[in-house]
Amino acid sequence: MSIAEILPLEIIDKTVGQPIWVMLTSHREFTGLLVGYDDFVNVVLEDVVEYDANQEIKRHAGKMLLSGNNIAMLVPGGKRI
Amino acid sequence: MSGVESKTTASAQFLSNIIGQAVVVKLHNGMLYQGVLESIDGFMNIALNQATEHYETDENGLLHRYDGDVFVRGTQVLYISEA
Repeated sequence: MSIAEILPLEIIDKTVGQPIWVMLTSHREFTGLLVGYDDFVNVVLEDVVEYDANQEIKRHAGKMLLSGNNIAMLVPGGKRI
Repeated sequence: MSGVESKTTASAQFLSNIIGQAVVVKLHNGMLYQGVLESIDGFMNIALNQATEHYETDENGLLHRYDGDVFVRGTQVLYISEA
């Protein structure tokens, strides 16, 4: 018998205040500092870099609320190059 | 507390903090709207004042200027960010 020892959202919870890499269901990606998230996995990021098809397209100095609707994957630690 | 702050979530706190500020809103189709945030609700429905319309980034030129208020439907919103 086994119960998951780490809940999926615990991984995100541990990443609050640290860099994170957010991949959407499209070719769009965001990296930034994870400020927080809610039950829908809407995500608040800070100092965001926005990518489309791996091309940097926009930088955002302040905070951003990113809709959880199209989030496919979250990677703690930020974007690997 | 597990992820969600004890009372208000990070998202709710962010939304209440940016009312009246200049924001950028991007939709799923890539349209970008810059304007002053009049109000926003839990569906991410958004009311902007003095909005300008661009594609992907404002460096791609001005497509349209809306002098009054615009309503942006929450289902189409990808993100809202401090300008």
